[in-house]
Amino acid sequence: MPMMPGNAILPACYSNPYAPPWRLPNFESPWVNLRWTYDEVFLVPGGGKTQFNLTIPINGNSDFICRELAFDNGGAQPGSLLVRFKNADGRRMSHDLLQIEEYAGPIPIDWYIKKGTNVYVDIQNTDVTATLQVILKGISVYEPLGINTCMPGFEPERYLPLYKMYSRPAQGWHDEPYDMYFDVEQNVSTVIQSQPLLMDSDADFYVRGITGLAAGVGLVKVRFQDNWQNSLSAGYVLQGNEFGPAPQARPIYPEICCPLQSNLTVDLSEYTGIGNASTLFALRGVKRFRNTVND
Amino acid sequence: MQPKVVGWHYDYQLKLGAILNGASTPQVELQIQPGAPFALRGIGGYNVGAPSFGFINVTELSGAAIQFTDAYDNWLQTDKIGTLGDWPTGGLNAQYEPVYNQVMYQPGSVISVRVTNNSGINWNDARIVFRGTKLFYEDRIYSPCYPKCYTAIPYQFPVTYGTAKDVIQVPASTTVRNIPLSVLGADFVLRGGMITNDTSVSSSIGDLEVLLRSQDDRPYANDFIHWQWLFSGGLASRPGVWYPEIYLPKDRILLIDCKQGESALAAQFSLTFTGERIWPK
Repeated sequence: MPMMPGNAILPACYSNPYAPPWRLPNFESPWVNLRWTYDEVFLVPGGGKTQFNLTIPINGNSDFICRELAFDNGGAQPGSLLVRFKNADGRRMSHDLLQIEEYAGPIPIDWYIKKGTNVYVDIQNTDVTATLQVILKGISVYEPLGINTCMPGFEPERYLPLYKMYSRPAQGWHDEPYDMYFDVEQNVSTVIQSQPLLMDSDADFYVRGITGLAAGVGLVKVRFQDNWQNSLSAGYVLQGNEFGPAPQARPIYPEICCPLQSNLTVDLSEYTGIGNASTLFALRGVKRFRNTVND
Repeated sequence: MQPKVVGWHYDYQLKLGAILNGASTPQVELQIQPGAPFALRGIGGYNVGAPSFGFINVTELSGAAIQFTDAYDNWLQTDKIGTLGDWPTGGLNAQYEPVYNQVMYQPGSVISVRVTNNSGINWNDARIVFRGTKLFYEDRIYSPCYPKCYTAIPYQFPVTYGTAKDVIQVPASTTVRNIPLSVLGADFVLRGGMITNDTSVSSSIGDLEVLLRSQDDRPYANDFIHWQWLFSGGLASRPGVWYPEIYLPKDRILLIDCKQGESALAAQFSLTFTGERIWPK
């Protein structure tokens, strides 16, 4: 994989560093995966009763790898429905019953379920009678019969999480997370040109995200420039598109290297004409330090 | 040597029409276009409400139960699945429910769909969006890529159309086609997009729909799709992501069609694409 200066890895041509991994089935694999979802609807009496060993039958022609649990409670009171799963041998998958809100979501380890078996579920309802749809999401595993394949020649798409695509410190150096905070006050319908954003003097700073909010009445649109006065946008960007809603950051890729004591600059324009603007934002990234004897 | 296959971001939208509360659709089929196989990678849906005083309310398909097939008529669920639990976001702000492993549909095949409305309200115009990637042999379409050696900076592209800079203006009840994103000066890799309503014209984009096309008129969807199922709104931390990304060489353009439905207002909004600016070295 090609490398950029600073050891950053170039993105693959036909992927997207902001996106999740997508791969076609491996054509040499003895198995073919097919997305599959099991679901069963159970009528659950209320009053705190528990129904034991309700069954979700697994198809007889393919094993199933469960990767996520979901529930449709039909609008029942949150917290009123509790479940516990048991595998095909009847072994409990949790010590006690848990609220479905705690259970829902991806499971940390793939749950391999053999074909032709049953998944068992205990359900307790502490409220009035309700229906609960229990959903097992994952993949069915078939022998290769030509399903779910595409034309030959497709190169599996390469994927790296975004955090792995940024530069890495050289040997003898290390990174520390850092937020660089700024606050710009501005009168209504005014433009501030080239507001300097001074970097600290202790280390280089690598900007990897930006978060912010508007504390005043007015709103701003902004245009950033890097240390070499390269504009980082084709025009002014409304703050709703520029700043991730605090504290979440809008990811910035590739990162912006800010040498110590340098400065980025920003142009700000109050565009609503209804009041003064107070723009609070933070550049999120890492500072790069040389190791000391304590590191 | 086998030819290389490249991906092309694509959204298939299936319009189901009106569905009364408690009613189910018959089995509806969405045909995959004949030109390329389609890798299904995400699913979501929304309902376009009936106009009320000139405004249209668009909501998630919360309370639906849905079941769909692969290209061989195999249902991919044992029964219809409730979206209340299965689709936490349902594609709102372009955060689609992942389909993983992806499901391949051959050219000319169909996705069969069954939907029940359990939402408690009648749906006026329900739509399902199947998000994924079309696959082409690379010599069949124009698919430029990164130069072998380059420098790059993060870059954002606000699109200007109309009299106000950095925002797009679309008159009420009008479709404006061929709004250009002109890539000048250097290559641009488009990876995602965000929309923010221009607050000087509040609530003007309740029923705005968007379609992106390449300079060669090759679309990125089979239909206009509501903007909030293509881009994030007020959520710049999670931009609506194109997969794969769109590589736009210098001097190319991306075409944007905007359809301002039946709203009584002209739409005025900022559409900002986010990505990377590329200079060959």
